[in-house]
Amino acid sequence: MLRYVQRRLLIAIPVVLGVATIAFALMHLLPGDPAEVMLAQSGGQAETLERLRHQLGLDLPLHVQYLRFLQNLLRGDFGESIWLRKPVSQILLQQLPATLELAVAAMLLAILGGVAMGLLAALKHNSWLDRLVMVISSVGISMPIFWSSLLGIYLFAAQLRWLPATGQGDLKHLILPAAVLGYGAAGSVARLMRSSMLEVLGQEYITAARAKGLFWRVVVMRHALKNALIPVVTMLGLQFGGLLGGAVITETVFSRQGLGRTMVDAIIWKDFPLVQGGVMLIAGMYVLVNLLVDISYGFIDPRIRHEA
Amino acid sequence: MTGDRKAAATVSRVPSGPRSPWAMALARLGRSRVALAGLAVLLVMGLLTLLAPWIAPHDPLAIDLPNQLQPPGPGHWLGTDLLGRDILSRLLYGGRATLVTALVAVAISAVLGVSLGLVSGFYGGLVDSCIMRFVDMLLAFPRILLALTVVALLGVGLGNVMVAVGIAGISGYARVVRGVVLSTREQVYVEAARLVGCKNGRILLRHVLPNVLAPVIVLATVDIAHALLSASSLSFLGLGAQPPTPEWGLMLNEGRAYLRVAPWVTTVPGLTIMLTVLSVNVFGDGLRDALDPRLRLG
Repeated sequence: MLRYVQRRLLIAIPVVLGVATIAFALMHLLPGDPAEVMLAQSGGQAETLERLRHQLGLDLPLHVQYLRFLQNLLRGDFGESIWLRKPVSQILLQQLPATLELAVAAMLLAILGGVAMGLLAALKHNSWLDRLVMVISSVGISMPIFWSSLLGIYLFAAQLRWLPATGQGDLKHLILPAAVLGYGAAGSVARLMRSSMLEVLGQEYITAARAKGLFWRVVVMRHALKNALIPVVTMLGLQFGGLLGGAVITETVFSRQGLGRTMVDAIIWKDFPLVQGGVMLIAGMYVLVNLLVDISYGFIDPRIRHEA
Repeated sequence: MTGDRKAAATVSRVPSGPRSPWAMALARLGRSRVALAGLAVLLVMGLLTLLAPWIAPHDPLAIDLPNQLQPPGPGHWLGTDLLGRDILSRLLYGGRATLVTALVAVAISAVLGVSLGLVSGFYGGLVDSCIMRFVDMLLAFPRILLALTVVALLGVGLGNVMVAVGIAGISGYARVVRGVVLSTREQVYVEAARLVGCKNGRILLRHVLPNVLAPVIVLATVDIAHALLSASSLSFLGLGAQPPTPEWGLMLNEGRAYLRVAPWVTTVPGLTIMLTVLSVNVFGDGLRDALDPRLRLG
C-alpha cells in the first residue's frame, strides 16, 4: 500500500509543477507589461515604473524569473496584493477556512444525499421512487447555482424565516449555502450511484451471494455497495473542483467571506498577484483532493493497489 | 434478368431497417421520447430567440419607470424589472446572447480540443507527451476557475467569456479524441491509406477524423449545458455581459436586490436557464445512448 501511495505522490508532482507554470504564465500572458497594469490600477507615477519592474523582478531574464517564482512558491511567498497592500499568502490563509468549511459541508451533503438517493433508485428500479430520484437529480444538475442560491434565500430566509440569508460564523449560516452548493453535486452523485449500483447488482457474484441464502440487506451492504462506490469516489474528486468553483458564486450571493469572493474581487480590481496566488491555492487543493481520491481506491478495491 | 431486377426492386422497397451506423443511431434516438422532448424544447427556444425582433412585445432596452417591477399581467406577460423593461422581451433577446455565447464557447473547445487530440494521438511520441501534459495541467483547474482566470487576463465582456469558457473546455475533447485516434491509427484501412501514398494530413482528415465525430458530437452536446452554466455564471458575477445588454445570467443578477418584493425578475430567467440546461442534458443523454451505446449510464 505504501508503494502505491508513493507512486501516486510522484505522479502528482509534475501536475503541481504544471499548475505553477500556468500560474507563472498568467502574469506574462498579460497584454502589455504587468507592471504597467499594476501601476495604472494603483494610480502610481510613471517614474516608479522601472522601480516596480525591478521590485517584481520583471527586468530579469524569463527563466531566472521562473526559477525565482518556484523558489518563492516553496517558501509560500506569493508576493503582495496590489489592492489590499498585504502579503497574498496572508490574505489567502485568512480566506481559506471559510471556503473549505463551505466546500466540505457541501461535499458531505452531496455524498450523503447523492449516495442515498442513487441507492434507493437502483434498489427500486423502474418504480415511482426511481423516477422521482431521477427528476430531483436532473433538476439539481441543471440548476444554475446562482439561481438555486436566490431561490433558497427567497424560500428559507425571506418566506419561511428558518435560516439567515447572509453572513457566516455558525452552523445556521452554513446550512443554506452548503445545501445549495451540494444539491448540484448530489444530483450527479445520485445518477452515477444509481447506474453503478444497477450494473453491480447484475453481476454473477451477487446472484451467487443470493443463491447462498444471504439476506438481501447483507448482499447490498456488504457485497454490492463497496463495488458500486468506486466510480462514485472518482467522481467525488472531480466534483470537489466544481464545489470550489461553485463557492465563488455561493460566497458572492450569500455575502460570505472566502477565497471565491476574494478571487472575483481581485479579478475586477486586476490584482494579478492575488489572482495568481488564489489560482495556485485552489488548483493545488484540487490536485490534493484528487490524489486522496486516487489513494482511497487502494483501500476500497485491493486489486487497484496490486495492479499499481 | 428482368425478374432479378424486379426482385431487387421489391427487396429495396421492403422496409429493411436502417443500415448505416448513423441511420441506426438516428432510429435509436427516435425511440427515446425524453430525448426528443428535450430536442423539441431546444428547437422552440432557438426559434423564439431567432424571431425575437419580430415577436418581442416591447423594446428590451426601453426604460419605463412608471411601470417598474410590475408583476406578470396582460400588459407585460412576464412582468417588468426595476427600470420598467419588459422581462419577456429581454428574455427573448437575452436568449440570443446566452445561447450564442454557449455555442461559440463549445465550438472553440471542440475545434482546439479535437485538433490537439488528433495531433497528439496520431503522431505520438514527444508531441503526444507535450500535448497531454498540457491537457493534464488544464485538468488540474476547476473549469469555472480556469474560465475566471482567462477573463482576468482578457478583461470582462461577453466576447472574452466565450474565449474563456471555450479554453476551459478543451481538455475533455483532447483526451477523448486522442483515445479514439490511438486505436484508429492501428486499423488496416489507415495502414492501407498510408501504403497508397496518402499524406498525414489527408489520412487525419479523411480517415481518422470521421471516427472521432460520434464521441465529439456527444461531448459537444453535453458541453453546451456546461458552457451555458459557466457563461451565465460569469455574467451573473458581472464579468460577462454588461448592462444594459439583455443576457439571462445578468438578468438574474439585476433582480437579486429586490428578490423579496419582485421574485419574478429572477425566477423567469432562472427557470429559463434551468429548462434549457435540462433539455440539453436529456437530449445529450439520448444522443449518447444512440451514438455510443457503450457509454450508456442506465
